[in-house]
Amino acid sequence: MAVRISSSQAFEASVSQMIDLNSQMLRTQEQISTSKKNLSAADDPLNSTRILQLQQSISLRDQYSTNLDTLDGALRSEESALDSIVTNIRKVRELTVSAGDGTYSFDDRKSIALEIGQRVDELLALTNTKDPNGEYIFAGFQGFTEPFVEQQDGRFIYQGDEGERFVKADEATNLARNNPGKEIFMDIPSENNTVSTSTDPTNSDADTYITLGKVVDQTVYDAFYPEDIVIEFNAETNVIPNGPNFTAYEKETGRPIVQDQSYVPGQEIQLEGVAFKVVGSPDPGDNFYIDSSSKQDIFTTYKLLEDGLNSLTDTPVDQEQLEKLLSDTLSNLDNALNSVINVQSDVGGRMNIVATSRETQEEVKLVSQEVLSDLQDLDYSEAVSRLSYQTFVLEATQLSYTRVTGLSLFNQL
Amino acid sequence: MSLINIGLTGLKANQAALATTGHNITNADTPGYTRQRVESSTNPAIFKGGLVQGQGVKADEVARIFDQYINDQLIRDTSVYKQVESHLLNIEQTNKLLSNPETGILNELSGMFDSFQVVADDPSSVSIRNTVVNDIKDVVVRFNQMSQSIFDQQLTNSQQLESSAIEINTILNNIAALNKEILQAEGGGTATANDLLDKRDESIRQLSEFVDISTVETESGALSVFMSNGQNLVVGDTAYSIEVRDDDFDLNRKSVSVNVAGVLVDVTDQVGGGSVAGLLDFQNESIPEALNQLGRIAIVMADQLNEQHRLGMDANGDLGGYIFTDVNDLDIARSRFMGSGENVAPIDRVGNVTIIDSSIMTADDYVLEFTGPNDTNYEVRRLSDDSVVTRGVVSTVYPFEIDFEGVRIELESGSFVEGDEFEIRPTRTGASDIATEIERGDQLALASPIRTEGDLGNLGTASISQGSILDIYQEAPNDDVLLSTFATAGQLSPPLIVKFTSETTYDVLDNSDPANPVSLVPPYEDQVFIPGVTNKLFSEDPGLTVVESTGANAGVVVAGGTNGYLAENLSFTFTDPDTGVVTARPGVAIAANTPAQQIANQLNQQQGIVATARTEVTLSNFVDNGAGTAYEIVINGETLTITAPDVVDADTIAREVNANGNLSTQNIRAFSDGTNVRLESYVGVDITVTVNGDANPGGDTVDVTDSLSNTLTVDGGNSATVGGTIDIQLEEGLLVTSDAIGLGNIFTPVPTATGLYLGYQAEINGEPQRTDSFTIDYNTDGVSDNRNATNLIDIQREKTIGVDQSAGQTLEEGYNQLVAKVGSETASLRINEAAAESVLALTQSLKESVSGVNLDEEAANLIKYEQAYNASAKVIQVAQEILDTLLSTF
Repeated sequence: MAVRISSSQAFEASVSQMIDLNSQMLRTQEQISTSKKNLSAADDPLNSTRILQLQQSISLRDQYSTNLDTLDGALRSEESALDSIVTNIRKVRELTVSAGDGTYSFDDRKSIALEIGQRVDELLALTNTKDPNGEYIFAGFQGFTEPFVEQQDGRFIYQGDEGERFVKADEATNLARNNPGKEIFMDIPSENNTVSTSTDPTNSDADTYITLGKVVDQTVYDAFYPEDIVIEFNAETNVIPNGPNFTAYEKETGRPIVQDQSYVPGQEIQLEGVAFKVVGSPDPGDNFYIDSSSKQDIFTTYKLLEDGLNSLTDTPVDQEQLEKLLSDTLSNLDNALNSVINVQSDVGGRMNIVATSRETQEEVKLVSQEVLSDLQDLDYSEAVSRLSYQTFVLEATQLSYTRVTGLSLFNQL
Repeated sequence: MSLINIGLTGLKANQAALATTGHNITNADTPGYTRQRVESSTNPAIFKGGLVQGQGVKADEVARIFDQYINDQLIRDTSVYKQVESHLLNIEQTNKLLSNPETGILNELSGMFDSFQVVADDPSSVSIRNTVVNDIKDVVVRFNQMSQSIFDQQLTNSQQLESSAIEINTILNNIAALNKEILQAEGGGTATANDLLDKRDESIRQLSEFVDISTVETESGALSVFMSNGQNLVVGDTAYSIEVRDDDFDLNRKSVSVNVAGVLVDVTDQVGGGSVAGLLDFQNESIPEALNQLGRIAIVMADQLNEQHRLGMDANGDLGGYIFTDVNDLDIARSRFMGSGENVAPIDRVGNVTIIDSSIMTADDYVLEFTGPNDTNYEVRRLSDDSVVTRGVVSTVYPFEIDFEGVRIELESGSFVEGDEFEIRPTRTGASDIATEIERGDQLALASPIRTEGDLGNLGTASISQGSILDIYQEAPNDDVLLSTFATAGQLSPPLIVKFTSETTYDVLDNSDPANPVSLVPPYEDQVFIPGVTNKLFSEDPGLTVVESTGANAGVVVAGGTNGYLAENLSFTFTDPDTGVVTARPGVAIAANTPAQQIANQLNQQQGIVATARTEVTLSNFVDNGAGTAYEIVINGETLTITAPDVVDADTIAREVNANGNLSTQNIRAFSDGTNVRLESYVGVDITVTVNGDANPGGDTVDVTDSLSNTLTVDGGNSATVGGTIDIQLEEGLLVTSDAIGLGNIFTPVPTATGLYLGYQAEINGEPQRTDSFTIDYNTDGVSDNRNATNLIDIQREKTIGVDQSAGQTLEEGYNQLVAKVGSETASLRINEAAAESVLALTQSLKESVSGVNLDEEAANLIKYEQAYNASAKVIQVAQEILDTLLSTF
């Protein structure tokens, strides 16, 4: 026996079917307009987490790519600065070689010294290069502090620090985007044991200073090495007649080297094979330091050469000193060149990593995007054919609705 | 005559049938209407003339075509469907809110970390720094807005509950009134008040949309309505009312009660179906879950970033502050601690809940209950599974702390008594509490406050790491007090210099005056360095203390070949910093005359101890009588003979000492200032000085002076010995005492322990040379430093959420999980709703097929009854004609 159907039920059933079809079509239409399979996490809870993860991973890739771009820019500007510095050193090396030409006179050497002075200025400008952000490339963390500065005593000091700034190239790789200038230009192995002089900043008079120290007797100094010397000015009453005088002693032990030595302004002082001057008017209590070093910065190498070419005459004694100076300078220049070239190849290496990282990032991103597309993107041909099918069904339902509801026994009464 | 009567009965019966058909037709679309049918039967026959003569038809009653079982089924199915439907309607919104990239937090969260990366590339840029701060604010706003949206949903939900209660009460009153009307209409007879019954059944069905109910019809015909737990809602003509009230713990949450003659019976947990159950499900499960998960992400993010940021240094050279409001801000902490409204007066209990380890905390709520048998026994239960996480006894001294699962309850004050209940919600308001503290880009602490440097004059190949910050602030509870190292703004107190005293030993000194570095207080010297590997310079133990050997004999020069130290026993007690449990550690027995180096070795066997030793002796007044044998001085068995042309003076002796290979293996080094020779051993061997050669009087002598300026003059054939001193570094919680009686020992009975924790670390690697030095100082002007920014970025990829229960999740993964959880809950509710709907539709169609009106059928009936009526009329006509025929015959 057939199931009994109430009239209102017959109407309602058709209507709710049409409502159903309407909402299905709306959903298909929404999918088509957003081009997404799933409109919220509830539509595909299984894959929603993966979709979010992939989106995050892609956005992170984009960030890494941006990092790599800025890193690449920074490395390029460092590389070009280093390139110019290499040229500068090579030029000075050529000048050094030519200064050794036996036919050159004192005056010829003086004119070479003049050119070296210009090279010093050029080098100073290059080592104080700024990047497009206005930060000094070679200053470490102190990007707003000029890293290399010439002191009135002719010394060059490094005001930066040893900070290296790292940038993320990917999850696991941090790449340095700078090299502190200290390791490139200051920490250069010296051919011979050498010294670095400095004036105590707490001295009473800022215009009194110690000049660049020179090792004039290497054998004597090598025997003394690696001790450091402190020069301390004493009360003027220590000598008769009263006047400025100083005591020099070994820093670590306090062993005196000379005591109560009278000071003659402008006169060169020699201690343990090291020659230097104290310029100005030292007061009692002023300290000056001569620290032993196995390193010599590139500026000092230039400066010593310039001084030597300006001061060493054609006398046999001076000639001998000149020969030693030139051969030391050549070695020290080679060491400096090595130091710069090492950093240059280090920078080149990092640029290679940047290039390969970028490729890897792009590849990973591409794969992620493909997977993401599979998970969330709509298959248009399927969706469009689904939509036309749904339209067809709805039309059929509407047609059958009017037909069926049009039938009533009452029409026949 | 009777034929007319019979025809009349047919007329009457068919008239009734026609009327009922008309009633059916006109009510075809009336909700709850049950089709009716006239039940008719034959009139009693009469016995007449040997015949049993039928007397026509009689309409007995108008019956409802109704099936009670189907109706009960419909009521149940309605409740099931409505519960799922109302829950689904609400959670769909939450689902959309979380999934939609415009309203979710993911874009802002990863945007903030992206901008940290950008600023790490260019930390000195003011404009980029300001962008980062804006991005931080965006994240906060997103968290706040999302939690506000969820709160708004809760509010809507509450309003829906309240309006449901009003509708329910109207329906309940209707049912009670209908009970009364039906009794009156039926008057105790057999007649049924069909339309009233329909109305009552429809009311019951409407009620089942709100709550699940069961009904029992009494003999009198009144219908009693119960909730599924048996609670009466309607009895006879009396209706009880439903009330929706604020929850005991939480004003934002509603509870449902039945008002039984003025007494409120809470039935919140007993509502098992209908839209009210769906609303309660949403309120009590979906909303807390979403808010807690979201809150936990906000808290973890704020806490982790704050903690790291506070280890950094900003663009002004100041130490990093809070990026976000402290997650343990007192007002916020107190709001996590909610007393039940049923706790007995006086309501004076104050407590707070702080996060002690955000990475292990759960997203659960807890209940703290004072379980008895007295006022001090308590129990903390996790609400999600009702398991006890901790129980114990509170002390009567407040504040009292209860720690569990990364969270601390602090009972501040008040009269806690048995029966008290408190709801502990560490994470619920996390997303609305989060606020930005940082205002300007320059306050971003992207740099690290320390920097390290190797001295330009270093001879070895060793290099120092950039250094890392362990702590800026002291340990809890003083975690807002700066370590002394960082206590003075803009500088390190003190700046340090690491000086190598040999290739394998170093001193760490106060470098405030670079011309004259001095010992730290307490000293940190004679540390052992292993060349070629990475050496951590400092201890990372925040509770580290140092004890110096300051006994009367320590390092004092005595005559003879031994150091003169008396025997001594050292005892160690260890107080566990976490549990407070005190245990004794094995003691150390020091034999008499043991060299400091050996004592240090003995001590270094012990757990939690690093001991170092050093010996210092000054030799002066080298007197050579010029006669007899040459000047001969013996140091630790090594004979140094000074023969001409060398003169007996400090320089010569020092040179001889430093040239002696056996002495340098004992780590003894000499320094001459021209007059005196200072001998130092960085491992703390005893230094014994013997003068050979000519005896007194008028013989060779030397003066031996210890570090306390006691001097002994040693002459020919005699010796003097100086023992070393010891520094003991003790791990947190470790204490040392000695049985020394005072005089003659190396340690005093209760040695003073001084704290030595710097809060930072640096490593030296490579092969240093003697006199090499490294400095550690404040990172003044470190505008290009991005070390702390890098650390902040790392938090994005770190597993920081729920690391105790599993491998943990990153912040983003935590949010993904929340989205997926709500998504799958929504998806399963969708499936349930579809299922419940089709079940309901089936039952509805079943009911309709029994009780619904089919107009075709009624039309057919109309024709049928009309024809029957006409036929009955024909019977009367025939009877009339018969009568007429009969009459005409007369």
